[in-house]
Amino acid sequence: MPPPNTPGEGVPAAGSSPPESTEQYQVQVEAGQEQEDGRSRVAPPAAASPIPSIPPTPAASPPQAELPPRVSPPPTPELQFASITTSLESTSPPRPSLSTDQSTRPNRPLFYDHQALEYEGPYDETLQCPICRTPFYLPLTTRTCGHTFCAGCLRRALELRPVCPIDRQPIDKDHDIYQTRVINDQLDRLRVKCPNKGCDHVCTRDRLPAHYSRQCPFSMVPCPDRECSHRIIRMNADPDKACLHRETSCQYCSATVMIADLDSHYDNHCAGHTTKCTQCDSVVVRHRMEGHIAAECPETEVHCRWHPYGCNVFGRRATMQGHQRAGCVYEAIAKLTQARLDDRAVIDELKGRVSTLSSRLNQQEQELRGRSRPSMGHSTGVPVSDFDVHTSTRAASMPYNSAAWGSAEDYMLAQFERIETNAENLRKMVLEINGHHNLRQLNDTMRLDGLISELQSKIGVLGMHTTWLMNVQRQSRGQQRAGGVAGGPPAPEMSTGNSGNAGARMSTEGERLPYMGIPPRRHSNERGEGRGENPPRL
Amino acid sequence: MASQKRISKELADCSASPPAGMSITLASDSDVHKWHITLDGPVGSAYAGGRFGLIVSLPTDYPFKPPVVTFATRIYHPNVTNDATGAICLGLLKPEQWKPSTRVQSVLEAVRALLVEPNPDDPLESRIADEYRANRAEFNRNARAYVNKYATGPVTFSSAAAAGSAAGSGSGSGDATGGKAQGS
Repeated sequence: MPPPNTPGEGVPAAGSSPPESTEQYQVQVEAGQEQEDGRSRVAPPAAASPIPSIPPTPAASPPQAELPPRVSPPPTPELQFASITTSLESTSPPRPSLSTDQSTRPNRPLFYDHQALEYEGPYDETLQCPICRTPFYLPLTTRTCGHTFCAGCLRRALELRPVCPIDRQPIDKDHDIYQTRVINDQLDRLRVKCPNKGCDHVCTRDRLPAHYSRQCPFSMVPCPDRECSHRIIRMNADPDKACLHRETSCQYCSATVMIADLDSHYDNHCAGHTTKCTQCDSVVVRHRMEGHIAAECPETEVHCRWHPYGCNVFGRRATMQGHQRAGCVYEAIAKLTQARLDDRAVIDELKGRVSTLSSRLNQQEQELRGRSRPSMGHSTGVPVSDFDVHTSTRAASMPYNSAAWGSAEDYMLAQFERIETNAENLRKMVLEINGHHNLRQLNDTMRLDGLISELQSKIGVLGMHTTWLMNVQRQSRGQQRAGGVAGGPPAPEMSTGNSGNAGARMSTEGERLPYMGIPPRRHSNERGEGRGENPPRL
Repeated sequence: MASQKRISKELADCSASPPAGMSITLASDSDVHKWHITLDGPVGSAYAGGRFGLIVSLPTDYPFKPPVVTFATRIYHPNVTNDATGAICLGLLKPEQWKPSTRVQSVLEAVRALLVEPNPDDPLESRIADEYRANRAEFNRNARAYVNKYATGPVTFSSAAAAGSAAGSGSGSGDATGGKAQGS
């Protein structure tokens, strides 16, 4: 099985200008989509809406920005149909190709064999095409029996016989095939290895085209020289470098070789490409001689590995290995030196820590002295040393006894701990007080809340009263007027109404409409019962 | 490329879990298109105790074209030509019935099933088919005789050697009319 990225696969037709590989790939991908779209378009209306079969490749800047971008003309419908038929008849199925447009884009795009992809980790066997036994590529499902195949596999099978390759149900390649998006989505999540030899990139399958066509350093790309029609591994395609597709004569044999192929020529094809090492008798590729002498040749004379530590043994590499294996004396010295260096680092770190600690200690002593100075009056006079200060000042509260405390440091530490516990106690107290404070605040707020709601309800009732009073007044006025004009009964709509949502309407409607909650009382008022004269009680 | 991928996958599957009574090797390590299979005669059939060589040739456009399966060892069977070609009549393998989704493993199992139960209604050797239908004891005796004669030693896969041995030792059969192979 040849590697997927042999130069032969990427060799374009001769005499073409080198287009951008990225653009090419996308164009080709679009062609594939259109082909699928076209297929769905001729399907009956019951078909699901055509779904692009290839995930959209994220837009990224083309690798060779100095080249003008190519714009691909959108294919006409006729062209799409042409592409369907041509691709259905083509013998290399998994590659959607827009054969009718080949003359304008002679360079084959960056393609890899989808069936040769290596998948990382196990995948669901139901995602496997029953024909090629690899995960589907551009899966298509039959409408009659619901079986799914890769587009290419199905196309080839239908070419031979227009029946389902599983249960032999007749299939019309134009009508009975559709795509299922969910399968595509599942397939896109499979993780695949980059098919390029030398590249160990692993990504999800939908990202592979982007990696392969834009990033992979091992992909074949058009030569940066626009006059050149060859392809070259992206890693070596440096626009600053001259075109590597010039022919040069091999420095060892008479063959003329492309500069880009020199390395492989040296390693494999060069006539007399191997030579005997001048020092040892081994046969080495001539081109690799320097590396051989620098790292491998057993006859080359070298210093002992521990030369920097003083070993002066000098000799053939083979004997040197024996010397080192037997135990160079200087190896121990080297190890000691290394250990000493490590220790030095530790010591330096510790020194730093000690100095910070002592400075902190000094600071605390200063503080203590400053605090104790006022109460120093009774002491004998100017202290001779800090130690004396402590002796005299702390005597009152916590007498310092050099017998009880091993040393001044111990005493200081004890003091320090005491202060720390004090600080801890204080912190606790502060927390407690804070809690009390919060609780009290909460209690107050709740009380205020109650008061406020009470006040609100009172305001509502007052509003009701106002409305009621206004209504009463309006009615009495109306009665007076009516009595003056016709003496008719009060407005009939007052008698109906419910007693609910008393206060809600008082702002706007309450002034225009009669107050709905009042009427029963007004009736009782008309009947002359005194209780109704009172406004509603709180 | 595509076919190679599938074939090597099937070969791996078959080698990992071969069908009952079979062992699979490649004719040559460089070519995955030609498989050599050693098949033990199914117990309970007339072929029990025999070891048969099968050659599976997978075309380059496999799985779109069916594989070609032949017996390298001579066998007395209504559906296998009674000559050095050893062509098998198996419905599964006929071009008009072949399905690309069929695997070699199922083909091999079908061949084994054919030994257990010959299919005299679709024969390659109509004489043997008639005998199978009319006189089962005679058929069994003949089949056993063929097994003893051809299918006891180590299996050889070269069809030329099989033909040579057939010409040398089994000349008495006199039924090596290759034209019949395509008859069915």
